[in-house]
Amino acid sequence: MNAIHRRCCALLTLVAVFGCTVAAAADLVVIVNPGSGVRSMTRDEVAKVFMARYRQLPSGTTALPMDLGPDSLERKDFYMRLLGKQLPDINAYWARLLFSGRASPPHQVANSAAAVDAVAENKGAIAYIDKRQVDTRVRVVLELDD
Amino acid sequence: MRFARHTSMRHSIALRSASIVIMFTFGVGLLFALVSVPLMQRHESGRLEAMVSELAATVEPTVSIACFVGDKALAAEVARGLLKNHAIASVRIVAGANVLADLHGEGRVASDTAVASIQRSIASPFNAEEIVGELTLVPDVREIRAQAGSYARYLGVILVLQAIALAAVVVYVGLKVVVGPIKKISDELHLLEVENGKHLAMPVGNERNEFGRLTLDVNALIDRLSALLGSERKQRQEREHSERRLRLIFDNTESGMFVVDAAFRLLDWNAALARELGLSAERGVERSVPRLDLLLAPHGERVRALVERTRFDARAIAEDFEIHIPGQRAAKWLNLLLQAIEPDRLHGMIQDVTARKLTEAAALALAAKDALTGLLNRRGMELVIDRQLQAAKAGELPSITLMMLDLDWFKQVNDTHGHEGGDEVLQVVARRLQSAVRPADIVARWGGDEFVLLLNETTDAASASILATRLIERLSEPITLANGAVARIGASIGLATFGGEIDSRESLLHAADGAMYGAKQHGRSRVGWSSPLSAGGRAAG
Repeated sequence: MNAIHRRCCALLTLVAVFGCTVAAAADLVVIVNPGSGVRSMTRDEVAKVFMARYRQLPSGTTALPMDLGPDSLERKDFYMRLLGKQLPDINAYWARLLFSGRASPPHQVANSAAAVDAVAENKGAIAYIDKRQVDTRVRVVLELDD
Repeated sequence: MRFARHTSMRHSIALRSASIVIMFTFGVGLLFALVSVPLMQRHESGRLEAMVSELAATVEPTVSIACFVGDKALAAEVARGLLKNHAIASVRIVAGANVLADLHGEGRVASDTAVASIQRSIASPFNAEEIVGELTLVPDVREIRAQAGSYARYLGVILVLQAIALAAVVVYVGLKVVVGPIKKISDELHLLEVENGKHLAMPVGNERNEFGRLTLDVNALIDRLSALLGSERKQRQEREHSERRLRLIFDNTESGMFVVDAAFRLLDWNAALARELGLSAERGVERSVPRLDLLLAPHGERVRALVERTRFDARAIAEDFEIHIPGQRAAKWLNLLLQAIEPDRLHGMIQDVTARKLTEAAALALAAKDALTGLLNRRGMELVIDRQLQAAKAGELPSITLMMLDLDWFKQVNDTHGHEGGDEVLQVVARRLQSAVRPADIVARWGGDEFVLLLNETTDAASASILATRLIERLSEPITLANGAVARIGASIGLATFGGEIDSRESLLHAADGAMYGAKQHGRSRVGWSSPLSAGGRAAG
C-alpha cells in the first residue's frame, strides 16, 4: 500500500519534469528571407545583428531583426542559448541604448507564425522561431539546439 | 608685595612648563606635517588610483555596451558622468579605431608621471573574451595635491588642539599639584616662628610624596633649631650671671684689677687699682689711655719684660715693684700678677705689699744685728763683706781693708763686774768704735769680745794704721759702769787688705785674724798687719 503510493508519486514527478522539458526543449532556428543572399550565419554573427552591433546581414543587406513577444518562451530560450543571458539583462541592455536613440531593439512580432510572415515579406528580416514552424518561405541559417 | 611675588612665581612655573609643552608640541606637529605631506600625497595617489579604478569598474558595463554598439552619445554621457568627479581630469573611450568620447574636465590638470592614468580594456557585454574597446581615465594631479594638503592641515589642526589641551592640563597640574603645595609650605614657612617650635601642617594628599618629606624634614629642622636656641638662651643667661658676679668682684675687691694689652695699655680697671696707682676711678675720664709701664715709671723696662714673658706663658707670673706715688710720702711695694687670656689681652692684679715688705726688711735687719750692741752681727757682716768683695772684684772699689779687733782683759772685766758689767763694757766699746770710724766704715760684733771693721773710706795702709792706733787708745780709756765701778780694757788689732793671695772672704778674715793673733803675741794693745808689704804696720804700736 505504502510502496504503491510512493511509486505513484515518483511517476507523477517524472511526468511533470518530462513535460516541462518537452515544452522548453523546443528547437529554435534562426531564419532569413531566401532573397537576402545569406545561406548560413554563425552564432556570433546572429548575436551581433540582434544586439545592434551589426546593422547588416553578412550579405550586406540591411538587417531587420525580429523579436518574439517580450514574455514568450522562445524569446527567453533564444537569448539564453545565444548569449547565455536572462531576459532582464537583455532588457537592461536595451534600456541603456534607448537613451541615445542611435540603436534600437529588434522589431516585435506576436509569435512565430507572425515572425515567419514578416521574414517572408522583408528581404533583410531575420528572426528566431520554433523549428516546427519553419516553412518554405524562409531559410534557416542557424539552429540553436539545447 | 608678597602676594604679587607669589602670583608671579605661581604663574611662572605653570606657564613656563605649559609654554615648553606648547612649543614642543608645535615643533613636533610641524615636523609631522612636513613629513606627512609627501606621505599623504603618496597615500592620496594610491587612494585616488583605487577610486578611479573603482569608478572605471562602475561604468564598465555601460562603456562596454557603448563600445559594443559604437554609441558615441552613450559614451559621451558616461564620460560626462565620470568628469563629475573632481579627481578625474579626462576620459577617453575608444572602440577599435573609433574614438567614441574624449572629454577633458574644465580647469583640471592632467596627471604627470606621478600618478598613472587608468587604462582598461573593455570586453564585449556578451563575450568576456572579445575586446571591443578601451577606457582611459586620467586623474587630476592638482586634486590629489589639494587633498593631501587638506589632510596635512587637518593633521596640523589636530596637533594644535592636542597641544592646547596638553598645555591646559600642564598648567592645571602645575598649579594644583606642584605650585599649590609649594605655596602653602612657603607661606607657612614665611610666617613661622621657630622659637615657639610650631610645626608646618602636612599638606593634605601629599603625605607620601616629596612635599610630605619636605614638610617632615622642615619640622625636624625646626625641632633641632628650637632645641639649639633653647640651650643657647640658657647658656647666655648663665654667662650673664657669671659675668655680673665677676664684675661685682672686680669692682669691689680690695685688689687692683685690670686688663692690659700687648702695647701695655690699660683697657679696663677697677676702683682699687685707681686708688693704688692714683688713676681716675672713672674710665674714660683719663685724657689718654693709661699705660702700665708708665704708671710703674722707674720700672718700665721690667714691666715691659714681664708683659712680654707672660703673653706666651700659660702660667701667671708675679713680681714686686717699689714705686713712689706722687703725693704719697713713703715708697710703696706693689705685687704685680699677670696672666695671659690671649696673647694680646692680659689680666692683671696689683696688691699693696708694702706692709709685708717692711716686715720682711725688719726681720732681715733683726737677723743681721747684734741684739746687745746694735752693731751688725757676724752673719750681717759676712753679707756686707761679700757685697763689698763683689764690688771690689768688679773694680768699683779701690781697695778693701779688714780690721779684726779683740779686746784685752775682757775676761777679767767679766770676772770682776759680772756679765752685766761685761755687757755694759761691750756696749761702750761699740759706741766708741762707731763714733771713731767714718760713716761709710762698717762695724760689726764678730762674737764674744771680737769686733770686725770694714774700712770703705780709709783705704791706704797708713791711714788704716793710724785709725787702728787711735782705736786702741780710745778703748784703753777707763769705762765707768752704771754702778759707779770703773773697768779697764785694751784691744789688739789685726789688719788685712784684699788683693794678691787674699782673694776671698775666708782668706781676708783668716789673714786679719792671723795679724791680730800676732799682735797679741807681741804684747797686747798692738796693731798687726798681715801683709809684709804694709811695712812698719806690724812693728808699729
